[in-house]
Amino acid sequence: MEKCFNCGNPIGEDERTCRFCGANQRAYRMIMASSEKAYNDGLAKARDHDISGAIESLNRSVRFNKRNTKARDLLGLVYLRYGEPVLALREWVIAKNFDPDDELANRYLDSASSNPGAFEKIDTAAKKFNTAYKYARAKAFDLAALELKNVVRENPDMVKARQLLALIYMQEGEYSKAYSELKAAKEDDENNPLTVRYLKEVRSHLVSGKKKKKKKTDRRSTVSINDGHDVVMMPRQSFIEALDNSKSGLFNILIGIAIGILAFVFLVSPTMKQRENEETRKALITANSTTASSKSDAADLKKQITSLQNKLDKYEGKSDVKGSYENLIKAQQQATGDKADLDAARKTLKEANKKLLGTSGKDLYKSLTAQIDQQTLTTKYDEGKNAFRQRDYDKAIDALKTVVKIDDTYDNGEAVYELAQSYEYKGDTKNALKYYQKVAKDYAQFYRGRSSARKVQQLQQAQQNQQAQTNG
Amino acid sequence: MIDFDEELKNFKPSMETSEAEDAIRDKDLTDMIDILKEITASQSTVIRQSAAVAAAAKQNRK
Repeated sequence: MEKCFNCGNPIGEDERTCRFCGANQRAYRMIMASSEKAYNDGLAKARDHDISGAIESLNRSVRFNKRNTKARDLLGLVYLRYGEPVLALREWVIAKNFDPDDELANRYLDSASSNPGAFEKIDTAAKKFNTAYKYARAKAFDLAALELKNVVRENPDMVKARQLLALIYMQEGEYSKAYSELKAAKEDDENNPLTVRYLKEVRSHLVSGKKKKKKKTDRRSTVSINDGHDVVMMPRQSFIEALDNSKSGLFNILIGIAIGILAFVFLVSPTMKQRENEETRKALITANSTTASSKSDAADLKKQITSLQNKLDKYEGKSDVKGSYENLIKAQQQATGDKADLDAARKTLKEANKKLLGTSGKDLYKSLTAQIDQQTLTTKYDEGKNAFRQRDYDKAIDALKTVVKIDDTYDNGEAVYELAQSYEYKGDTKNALKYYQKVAKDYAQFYRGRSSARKVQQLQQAQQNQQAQTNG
Repeated sequence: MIDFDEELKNFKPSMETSEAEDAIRDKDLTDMIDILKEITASQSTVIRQSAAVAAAAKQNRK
Protein backbone atom coordinates (compact mmCIF):
# COMPACT_ATOMS: atom_id res chain seq x y z
CA MET A 1 0.00 0.00 0.00
CA GLU A 2 1.33 3.34 -1.03
CA LYS A 3 1.55 6.23 1.42
CA CYS A 4 1.01 9.90 0.78
CA PHE A 5 4.35 11.75 0.47
CA ASN A 6 2.84 14.71 2.34
CA CYS A 7 0.77 13.34 5.23
CA GLY A 8 1.83 9.69 5.26
CA ASN A 9 -1.73 8.34 5.06
CA PRO A 10 -2.39 5.30 2.84
CA ILE A 11 -3.55 5.97 -0.72
CA GLY A 12 -4.58 3.81 -3.66
CA GLU A 13 -2.21 3.13 -6.56
CA ASP A 14 -4.39 4.98 -9.07
CA GLU A 15 -5.42 7.86 -6.83
CA ARG A 16 -4.37 11.24 -8.21
CA THR A 17 -4.73 13.20 -4.97
CA CYS A 18 -4.61 12.32 -1.34
CA ARG A 19 -8.02 12.07 0.27
CA PHE A 20 -6.70 13.44 3.54
CA CYS A 21 -4.44 16.33 2.59
CA GLY A 22 -5.18 16.91 -1.08
CA ALA A 23 -1.53 16.45 -2.14
CA ASN A 24 -0.98 15.83 -5.85
CA GLN A 25 0.13 12.20 -6.00
CA ARG A 26 0.42 12.20 -9.78
CA ALA A 27 2.96 15.02 -9.74
CA TYR A 28 4.85 13.18 -6.99
CA ARG A 29 4.98 9.99 -9.06
CA MET A 30 6.22 11.97 -12.06
CA ILE A 31 8.99 13.60 -10.00
CA MET A 32 10.12 10.23 -8.65
CA ALA A 33 10.12 8.75 -12.16
CA SER A 34 12.11 11.72 -13.50
CA SER A 35 14.68 11.28 -10.72
CA GLU A 36 15.06 7.59 -11.58
CA LYS A 37 15.30 8.36 -15.28
CA ALA A 38 18.01 10.98 -14.66
CA TYR A 39 19.88 8.44 -12.51
CA ASN A 40 19.75 5.84 -15.28
CA ASP A 41 20.89 8.45 -17.73
CA GLY A 42 23.79 9.42 -15.45
CA LEU A 43 24.78 5.79 -14.96
CA ALA A 44 24.86 5.19 -18.73
CA LYS A 45 26.96 8.31 -19.29
CA ALA A 46 29.40 7.37 -16.52
CA ARG A 47 29.82 3.96 -18.16
CA ASP A 48 30.53 5.67 -21.48
CA HIS A 49 33.22 7.88 -19.94
CA ASP A 50 31.03 10.94 -20.38
CA ILE A 51 31.86 12.27 -16.95
CA SER A 52 30.53 15.81 -17.32
CA GLY A 53 27.28 14.45 -18.81
CA ALA A 54 26.98 12.01 -15.92
CA ILE A 55 27.50 14.80 -13.39
CA GLU A 56 24.75 16.83 -15.03
CA SER A 57 22.25 13.93 -15.11
CA LEU A 58 22.96 12.81 -11.56
CA ASN A 59 22.68 16.35 -10.22
CA ARG A 60 19.31 16.57 -11.99
CA SER A 61 18.28 13.29 -10.39
CA VAL A 62 19.03 14.52 -6.85
CA ARG A 63 17.37 17.87 -7.57
CA PHE A 64 14.16 15.94 -8.31
CA ASN A 65 14.56 13.72 -5.29
CA LYS A 66 17.22 14.58 -2.74
CA ARG A 67 16.72 11.19 -1.06
CA ASN A 68 17.81 9.29 -4.14
CA THR A 69 20.90 7.87 -2.43
CA LYS A 70 21.84 5.66 -5.40
CA ALA A 71 22.24 8.82 -7.49
CA ARG A 72 24.20 10.56 -4.74
CA ASP A 73 26.57 7.60 -4.30
CA LEU A 74 27.25 7.53 -8.02
CA LEU A 75 27.60 11.32 -8.15
CA GLY A 76 30.25 11.11 -5.44
CA LEU A 77 32.16 8.52 -7.41
CA VAL A 78 31.97 10.61 -10.57
CA TYR A 79 33.16 13.71 -8.71
CA LEU A 80 36.12 11.77 -7.36
CA ARG A 81 36.99 10.66 -10.86
CA TYR A 82 36.65 14.26 -12.02
CA GLY A 83 39.27 15.33 -9.44
CA GLU A 84 36.85 16.87 -6.96
CA PRO A 85 37.34 14.82 -3.76
CA VAL A 86 35.55 17.28 -1.50
CA LEU A 87 32.41 17.25 -3.61
CA ALA A 88 32.55 13.43 -3.60
CA LEU A 89 32.74 13.41 0.20
CA ARG A 90 29.86 15.87 0.37
CA GLU A 91 27.57 13.63 -1.66
CA TRP A 92 28.40 10.52 0.37
CA VAL A 93 27.92 12.31 3.69
CA ILE A 94 24.52 13.64 2.56
CA ALA A 95 23.52 10.18 1.29
CA LYS A 96 24.46 8.63 4.62
CA ASN A 97 22.54 11.33 6.43
CA PHE A 98 19.38 10.52 4.50
CA ASP A 99 19.87 6.78 4.75
CA PRO A 100 22.20 5.60 7.55
CA ASP A 101 22.04 2.07 6.13
CA ASP A 102 23.29 3.16 2.71
CA GLU A 103 25.97 0.51 2.21
CA LEU A 104 27.70 2.18 -0.71
CA ALA A 105 28.07 5.55 0.99
CA ASN A 106 29.38 3.84 4.13
CA ARG A 107 31.84 1.84 2.09
CA TYR A 108 33.15 4.88 0.18
CA LEU A 109 33.50 6.95 3.34
CA ASP A 110 35.28 4.08 5.11
CA SER A 111 37.58 3.68 2.15
CA ALA A 112 38.41 7.42 2.20
CA SER A 113 39.26 7.30 5.91
CA SER A 114 41.05 3.92 5.90
CA ASN A 115 43.12 4.67 2.81
CA PRO A 116 44.06 8.31 3.33
CA GLY A 117 47.08 8.08 0.99
CA ALA A 118 45.06 7.72 -2.20
CA PHE A 119 42.50 10.32 -1.14
CA GLU A 120 45.26 12.72 -0.08
CA LYS A 121 46.90 12.34 -3.47
CA ILE A 122 43.73 13.50 -5.20
CA ASP A 123 43.36 16.32 -2.68
CA THR A 124 46.97 17.44 -3.26
CA ALA A 125 46.31 17.47 -6.99
CA ALA A 126 43.25 19.66 -6.39
CA LYS A 127 45.33 22.07 -4.30
CA LYS A 128 47.97 22.23 -7.01
CA PHE A 129 45.28 22.88 -9.58
CA ASN A 130 44.12 25.86 -7.53
CA THR A 131 47.68 27.22 -7.43
CA ALA A 132 47.99 26.75 -11.20
CA TYR A 133 44.66 28.50 -11.67
CA LYS A 134 45.98 31.51 -9.71
CA TYR A 135 49.14 31.55 -11.85
CA ALA A 136 47.06 31.40 -15.02
CA ARG A 137 44.94 34.33 -13.87
CA ALA A 138 48.12 36.27 -13.14
CA LYS A 139 49.36 35.38 -16.66
CA ALA A 140 52.34 33.44 -15.25
CA PHE A 141 51.91 30.78 -17.93
CA ASP A 142 55.23 28.99 -17.38
CA LEU A 143 54.53 28.43 -13.70
CA ALA A 144 50.92 27.50 -14.36
CA ALA A 145 51.94 24.95 -17.00
CA LEU A 146 54.56 23.48 -14.68
CA GLU A 147 52.07 23.10 -11.85
CA LEU A 148 49.42 21.62 -14.12
CA LYS A 149 51.87 19.06 -15.46
CA ASN A 150 52.41 17.96 -11.84
CA VAL A 151 48.66 17.79 -11.31
CA VAL A 152 48.19 15.64 -14.39
CA ARG A 153 51.03 13.38 -13.28
CA GLU A 154 49.49 12.93 -9.82
CA ASN A 155 45.88 12.62 -11.00
CA PRO A 156 45.72 11.81 -14.73
CA ASP A 157 41.90 11.72 -14.58
CA MET A 158 41.56 15.37 -13.61
CA VAL A 159 39.98 16.58 -16.82
CA LYS A 160 39.84 20.26 -15.98
CA ALA A 161 43.60 20.31 -15.29
CA ARG A 162 44.21 18.98 -18.80
CA GLN A 163 41.77 21.50 -20.23
CA LEU A 164 43.46 24.41 -18.48
CA LEU A 165 46.88 23.13 -19.57
CA ALA A 166 45.61 22.92 -23.14
CA LEU A 167 44.25 26.46 -22.90
CA ILE A 168 47.67 27.70 -21.75
CA TYR A 169 49.38 25.82 -24.57
CA MET A 170 46.95 27.40 -27.04
CA GLN A 171 47.69 30.82 -25.61
CA GLU A 172 51.40 30.12 -26.08
CA GLY A 173 50.81 28.91 -29.65
CA GLU A 174 51.83 25.32 -28.87
CA TYR A 175 48.86 23.69 -30.55
CA SER A 176 50.30 20.19 -30.91
CA LYS A 177 50.90 19.99 -27.15
CA ALA A 178 47.41 21.33 -26.53
CA TYR A 179 46.06 18.69 -28.88
CA SER A 180 47.70 15.83 -26.98
CA GLU A 181 46.33 17.11 -23.64
CA LEU A 182 42.83 17.51 -25.06
CA LYS A 183 42.98 14.06 -26.59
CA ALA A 184 43.82 12.59 -23.19
CA ALA A 185 41.03 14.67 -21.61
CA LYS A 186 38.60 13.35 -24.21
CA GLU A 187 39.47 9.77 -23.32
CA ASP A 188 38.45 10.46 -19.71
CA ASP A 189 35.45 12.63 -20.45
CA GLU A 190 34.07 11.87 -23.87
CA ASN A 191 31.53 14.64 -24.46
CA ASN A 192 32.85 17.44 -22.33
CA PRO A 193 31.69 20.57 -24.21
CA LEU A 194 34.82 22.52 -23.30
CA THR A 195 37.12 19.75 -24.53
CA VAL A 196 35.15 19.42 -27.74
CA ARG A 197 35.27 23.17 -28.40
CA TYR A 198 38.99 23.44 -27.66
CA LEU A 199 39.73 20.42 -29.85
CA LYS A 200 37.90 22.07 -32.71
CA GLU A 201 39.93 25.24 -32.25
CA VAL A 202 43.24 23.37 -32.02
CA ARG A 203 42.47 21.25 -35.10
CA SER A 204 41.70 24.34 -37.14
CA HIS A 205 45.07 25.84 -36.19
CA LEU A 206 46.95 22.64 -36.89
CA VAL A 207 45.30 22.25 -40.31
CA SER A 208 46.03 25.87 -41.32
CA GLY A 209 49.64 25.39 -40.16
CA LYS A 210 49.99 22.28 -42.37
CA LYS A 211 48.52 24.10 -45.35
CA LYS A 212 51.05 26.92 -44.98
CA LYS A 213 53.88 24.39 -44.86
CA LYS A 214 52.62 22.64 -47.95
CA LYS A 215 52.42 25.93 -49.83
CA LYS A 216 56.04 26.66 -49.00
CA THR A 217 57.09 23.20 -50.19
CA ASP A 218 55.17 23.61 -53.42
CA ARG A 219 56.79 26.98 -54.09
CA ARG A 220 60.20 25.43 -53.61
CA SER A 221 59.52 22.45 -55.90
CA THR A 222 58.84 24.44 -59.07
CA VAL A 223 61.09 26.66 -61.17
CA SER A 224 59.97 28.99 -63.97
CA ILE A 225 61.99 29.45 -67.14
CA ASN A 226 61.26 32.38 -69.37
CA ASP A 227 62.52 31.67 -72.91
CA GLY A 228 61.28 34.96 -74.34
CA HIS A 229 57.88 33.73 -75.58
CA ASP A 230 56.46 31.27 -73.06
CA VAL A 231 56.97 30.69 -69.38
CA VAL A 232 57.81 27.04 -68.79
CA MET A 233 57.23 25.63 -65.31
CA MET A 234 59.29 22.60 -64.42
CA PRO A 235 59.96 20.88 -61.12
CA ARG A 236 62.99 22.03 -59.20
CA GLN A 237 65.50 19.25 -58.52
CA SER A 238 68.09 19.05 -55.86
CA PHE A 239 71.66 18.08 -56.67
CA ILE A 240 71.18 14.57 -55.32
CA GLU A 241 67.95 14.16 -57.28
CA ALA A 242 69.78 15.28 -60.40
CA LEU A 243 72.42 12.66 -59.75
CA ASP A 244 69.82 9.97 -59.23
CA ASN A 245 67.96 10.94 -62.34
CA SER A 246 71.05 11.00 -64.52
CA LYS A 247 71.30 7.78 -66.36
CA SER A 248 75.05 7.68 -66.24
CA GLY A 249 75.88 5.18 -63.50
CA LEU A 250 79.58 5.31 -64.33
CA PHE A 251 79.57 9.04 -63.75
CA ASN A 252 78.10 8.52 -60.33
CA ILE A 253 80.67 5.88 -59.46
CA LEU A 254 83.53 8.16 -60.54
CA ILE A 255 82.17 11.02 -58.50
CA GLY A 256 81.85 8.66 -55.54
CA ILE A 257 85.47 7.52 -55.86
CA ALA A 258 86.67 11.13 -56.17
CA ILE A 259 84.73 12.13 -53.07
CA GLY A 260 86.19 9.10 -51.25
CA ILE A 261 89.77 10.04 -52.16
CA LEU A 262 89.24 13.65 -51.19
CA ALA A 263 87.68 12.64 -47.91
CA PHE A 264 90.68 10.37 -47.18
CA VAL A 265 93.21 13.09 -48.07
CA PHE A 266 91.51 15.91 -46.20
CA LEU A 267 89.78 14.13 -43.37
CA VAL A 268 91.19 10.68 -42.58
CA SER A 269 94.89 11.25 -43.28
CA PRO A 270 95.28 14.37 -41.07
CA THR A 271 93.42 12.61 -38.29
CA MET A 272 95.77 9.63 -38.52
CA LYS A 273 98.83 11.88 -38.49
CA GLN A 274 97.44 13.83 -35.59
CA ARG A 275 96.84 10.60 -33.70
CA GLU A 276 100.43 9.45 -34.31
CA ASN A 277 101.79 12.80 -33.12
CA GLU A 278 99.56 12.64 -30.11
CA GLU A 279 100.84 9.17 -29.21
CA THR A 280 104.49 10.28 -29.59
CA ARG A 281 103.83 13.33 -27.46
CA LYS A 282 102.18 11.19 -24.78
CA ALA A 283 105.15 8.76 -24.77
CA LEU A 284 107.55 11.70 -24.40
CA ILE A 285 105.55 13.14 -21.54
CA THR A 286 105.49 9.71 -19.83
CA ALA A 287 109.28 9.35 -20.25
CA ASN A 288 109.87 12.85 -18.88
CA SER A 289 107.61 12.26 -15.93
CA THR A 290 109.38 8.92 -15.20
CA THR A 291 112.79 10.68 -15.25
CA ALA A 292 111.50 13.46 -13.06
CA SER A 293 110.08 10.99 -10.57
CA SER A 294 113.39 9.05 -10.54
CA LYS A 295 115.22 12.29 -9.82
CA SER A 296 112.86 13.19 -7.05
CA ASP A 297 113.19 9.63 -5.65
CA ALA A 298 116.97 10.01 -5.63
CA ALA A 299 116.66 13.38 -3.89
CA ASP A 300 114.33 11.83 -1.30
CA LEU A 301 116.78 8.99 -0.66
CA LYS A 302 119.60 11.48 -0.18
CA LYS A 303 117.52 13.39 2.31
CA GLN A 304 116.81 10.17 4.19
CA ILE A 305 120.51 9.31 4.25
CA THR A 306 121.37 12.78 5.63
CA SER A 307 118.68 12.52 8.26
CA LEU A 308 119.84 9.05 9.32
CA GLN A 309 123.46 10.25 9.37
CA ASN A 310 122.47 13.12 11.65
CA LYS A 311 120.71 10.71 13.95
CA LEU A 312 123.77 8.45 13.92
CA ASP A 313 126.07 11.37 14.73
CA LYS A 314 124.07 12.08 17.84
CA TYR A 315 124.68 8.55 19.06
CA GLU A 316 128.39 8.49 18.26
CA GLY A 317 130.60 8.27 21.32
CA LYS A 318 127.56 7.37 23.42
CA SER A 319 126.66 4.01 24.83
CA ASP A 320 123.80 1.82 23.93
CA VAL A 321 121.07 1.10 26.47
CA LYS A 322 123.00 -1.51 28.35
CA GLY A 323 126.23 0.52 28.27
CA SER A 324 124.42 3.66 29.40
CA TYR A 325 123.12 1.92 32.52
CA GLU A 326 126.56 0.44 33.21
CA ASN A 327 128.14 3.90 32.91
CA LEU A 328 125.49 5.33 35.19
CA ILE A 329 126.29 2.76 37.89
CA LYS A 330 130.01 3.23 37.36
CA ALA A 331 129.70 7.03 37.67
CA GLN A 332 127.77 6.60 40.92
CA GLN A 333 130.51 4.38 42.29
CA GLN A 334 133.21 6.85 41.22
CA ALA A 335 131.43 9.80 42.79
CA THR A 336 130.84 8.18 46.16
CA GLY A 337 133.06 6.53 48.73
CA ASP A 338 136.37 7.52 50.29
CA LYS A 339 138.24 7.46 47.03
CA ALA A 340 135.78 9.59 45.09
CA ASP A 341 137.06 10.74 41.72
CA LEU A 342 134.68 13.42 40.56
CA ASP A 343 136.42 14.10 37.23
CA ALA A 344 136.32 10.42 36.35
CA ALA A 345 132.68 10.24 37.47
CA ARG A 346 131.81 13.25 35.32
CA LYS A 347 133.51 11.67 32.27
CA THR A 348 131.78 8.35 32.80
CA LEU A 349 128.45 10.08 33.17
CA LYS A 350 128.98 11.93 29.89
CA GLU A 351 129.47 8.62 28.11
CA ALA A 352 126.02 7.44 29.24
CA ASN A 353 123.27 8.24 26.73
CA LYS A 354 120.54 10.01 28.69
CA LYS A 355 117.98 9.61 25.89
CA LEU A 356 118.15 5.80 26.05
CA LEU A 357 117.49 5.70 29.77
CA GLY A 358 114.12 4.99 31.32
CA THR A 359 112.36 7.33 33.73
CA SER A 360 114.15 6.08 36.84
CA GLY A 361 117.43 5.99 34.89
CA LYS A 362 116.94 9.62 33.93
CA ASP A 363 116.14 10.55 37.54
CA LEU A 364 119.33 8.86 38.72
CA TYR A 365 121.27 10.60 35.97
CA LYS A 366 119.92 13.98 37.10
CA SER A 367 120.57 13.42 40.80
CA LEU A 368 124.04 12.08 40.08
CA THR A 369 124.88 15.09 37.91
CA ALA A 370 123.64 17.43 40.64
CA GLN A 371 125.63 15.53 43.27
CA ILE A 372 128.83 15.56 41.20
CA ASP A 373 128.37 19.25 40.42
CA GLN A 374 127.91 20.11 44.07
CA GLN A 375 130.94 18.09 45.13
CA THR A 376 132.99 19.53 42.28
CA LEU A 377 132.02 23.06 43.25
CA THR A 378 133.15 22.58 46.84
CA THR A 379 136.38 20.79 45.96
CA LYS A 380 137.38 23.01 43.06
CA TYR A 381 136.53 26.21 44.86
CA ASP A 382 138.75 25.24 47.82
CA GLU A 383 141.43 24.11 45.40
CA GLY A 384 141.22 27.39 43.48
CA LYS A 385 141.36 29.53 46.58
CA ASN A 386 144.36 27.64 47.97
CA ALA A 387 146.16 27.91 44.65
CA PHE A 388 145.41 31.66 44.53
CA ARG A 389 146.89 32.12 48.00
CA GLN A 390 149.94 30.18 46.97
CA ARG A 391 150.10 32.45 43.85
CA ASP A 392 149.71 29.44 41.57
CA TYR A 393 147.40 31.40 39.28
CA ASP A 394 147.25 28.82 36.50
CA LYS A 395 146.01 26.15 38.86
CA ALA A 396 143.65 28.67 40.49
CA ILE A 397 142.24 29.69 37.10
CA ASP A 398 141.79 26.05 36.12
CA ALA A 399 139.91 25.20 39.30
CA LEU A 400 137.85 28.40 39.49
CA LYS A 401 136.87 28.19 35.80
CA THR A 402 135.38 24.80 36.50
CA VAL A 403 133.40 26.30 39.40
CA VAL A 404 132.17 29.29 37.37
CA LYS A 405 131.22 27.02 34.50
CA ILE A 406 128.99 25.01 36.80
CA ASP A 407 127.59 27.97 38.80
CA ASP A 408 128.65 31.53 38.00
CA THR A 409 126.94 32.82 41.16
CA TYR A 410 128.80 30.49 43.49
CA ASP A 411 129.63 32.01 46.90
CA ASN A 412 127.73 35.18 45.93
CA GLY A 413 130.01 35.92 43.00
CA GLU A 414 133.19 35.43 45.02
CA ALA A 415 134.31 32.60 42.72
CA VAL A 416 134.03 34.86 39.63
CA TYR A 417 135.78 37.69 41.45
CA GLU A 418 138.68 35.43 42.45
CA LEU A 419 138.89 34.11 38.91
CA ALA A 420 139.13 37.72 37.64
CA GLN A 421 141.86 38.42 40.22
CA SER A 422 143.76 35.30 39.18
CA TYR A 423 143.67 36.48 35.57
CA GLU A 424 144.76 40.00 36.61
CA TYR A 425 147.74 38.75 38.61
CA LYS A 426 148.65 36.39 35.88
CA GLY A 427 148.69 39.39 33.50
CA ASP A 428 145.76 38.34 31.34
CA THR A 429 143.99 41.74 31.37
CA LYS A 430 141.46 40.77 28.71
CA ASN A 431 139.99 37.85 30.69
CA ALA A 432 140.37 39.75 33.98
CA LEU A 433 138.28 42.60 32.53
CA LYS A 434 135.68 40.12 31.30
CA TYR A 435 135.10 38.62 34.75
CA TYR A 436 135.44 41.95 36.67
CA GLN A 437 132.80 43.43 34.36
CA LYS A 438 130.51 40.50 35.08
CA VAL A 439 130.85 40.98 38.87
CA ALA A 440 130.44 44.77 38.51
CA LYS A 441 127.24 44.25 36.56
CA ASP A 442 125.70 41.37 38.57
CA TYR A 443 126.60 42.74 42.03
CA ALA A 444 126.53 46.50 41.43
CA GLN A 445 124.81 47.11 44.81
CA PHE A 446 127.42 45.24 46.78
CA TYR A 447 130.96 45.87 47.84
CA ARG A 448 132.42 43.30 45.39
CA GLY A 449 130.50 44.93 42.55
CA ARG A 450 131.79 48.40 43.32
CA SER A 451 135.40 47.25 43.79
CA SER A 452 135.10 45.29 40.51
CA ALA A 453 133.89 48.44 38.77
CA ARG A 454 136.92 50.34 40.08
CA LYS A 455 139.16 47.51 38.94
CA VAL A 456 137.59 47.70 35.48
CA GLN A 457 138.31 51.43 35.34
CA GLN A 458 141.91 50.95 36.50
CA LEU A 459 142.58 48.16 34.05
CA GLN A 460 141.00 50.03 31.15
CA GLN A 461 143.03 53.15 32.05
CA ALA A 462 146.16 51.04 32.23
CA GLN A 463 145.36 49.53 28.86
CA GLN A 464 144.86 52.98 27.33
CA ASN A 465 148.10 54.23 28.80
CA GLN A 466 149.94 51.23 27.51
CA GLN A 467 148.42 51.71 24.10
CA ALA A 468 149.34 55.39 24.14
CA GLN A 469 152.91 54.51 25.05
CA THR A 470 153.06 51.95 22.26
CA ASN A 471 151.68 54.45 19.78
CA GLY A 472 153.88 57.25 21.12
CA MET B 1 39.65 32.56 -31.95
CA ILE B 2 39.85 31.77 -28.27
CA ASP B 3 39.86 34.64 -25.75
CA PHE B 4 42.00 33.42 -22.88
CA ASP B 5 40.47 35.64 -20.20
CA GLU B 6 36.96 34.70 -21.22
CA GLU B 7 37.82 31.02 -21.31
CA LEU B 8 39.41 31.21 -17.89
CA LYS B 9 35.96 32.03 -16.51
CA ASN B 10 34.88 28.47 -17.41
CA PHE B 11 37.26 27.15 -14.78
CA LYS B 12 36.57 27.22 -11.06
CA PRO B 13 39.03 26.36 -8.30
CA SER B 14 38.60 22.88 -6.82
CA MET B 15 37.32 22.57 -3.29
CA GLU B 16 39.95 21.67 -0.72
CA THR B 17 39.41 19.36 2.26
CA SER B 18 39.46 22.33 4.62
CA GLU B 19 36.30 23.53 2.87
CA ALA B 20 34.48 20.17 3.14
CA GLU B 21 32.44 21.15 6.18
CA ASP B 22 31.21 24.37 4.53
CA ALA B 23 30.47 22.46 1.31
CA ILE B 24 28.17 20.08 3.15
CA ARG B 25 26.54 22.73 5.35
CA ASP B 26 25.93 25.24 2.56
CA LYS B 27 24.51 22.73 0.08
CA ASP B 28 20.96 23.65 -0.84
CA LEU B 29 19.01 20.43 -0.46
CA THR B 30 15.64 21.67 -1.65
CA ASP B 31 14.20 19.21 -4.19
CA MET B 32 11.09 19.04 -6.32
CA ILE B 33 9.21 17.09 -3.64
CA ASP B 34 9.81 19.92 -1.14
CA ILE B 35 8.42 22.33 -3.68
CA LEU B 36 5.42 20.07 -4.27
CA LYS B 37 4.79 19.91 -0.54
CA GLU B 38 4.92 23.69 -0.38
CA ILE B 39 2.44 23.91 -3.25
CA THR B 40 0.13 21.39 -1.54
CA ALA B 41 0.36 23.30 1.71
CA SER B 42 -0.45 26.62 0.04
CA GLN B 43 -3.32 24.97 -1.90
CA SER B 44 -4.80 23.55 1.30
CA THR B 45 -4.67 27.00 2.92
CA VAL B 46 -6.43 28.54 -0.06
CA ILE B 47 -9.11 25.80 -0.01
CA ARG B 48 -9.57 26.19 3.70
CA GLN B 49 -9.87 29.96 3.38
CA SER B 50 -12.31 29.66 0.48
CA ALA B 51 -14.39 27.15 2.45
CA ALA B 52 -14.44 29.50 5.41
CA VAL B 53 -15.45 32.42 3.19
CA ALA B 54 -18.23 30.31 1.58
CA ALA B 55 -19.52 29.19 4.98
CA ALA B 56 -19.59 32.77 6.23
CA ALA B 57 -21.51 33.93 3.14
CA LYS B 58 -24.04 31.12 3.60
CA GLN B 59 -24.59 32.13 7.17
CA ASN B 60 -25.10 35.79 6.20
CA ARG B 61 -27.67 34.79 3.57
CA LYS B 62 -29.58 32.89 6.24
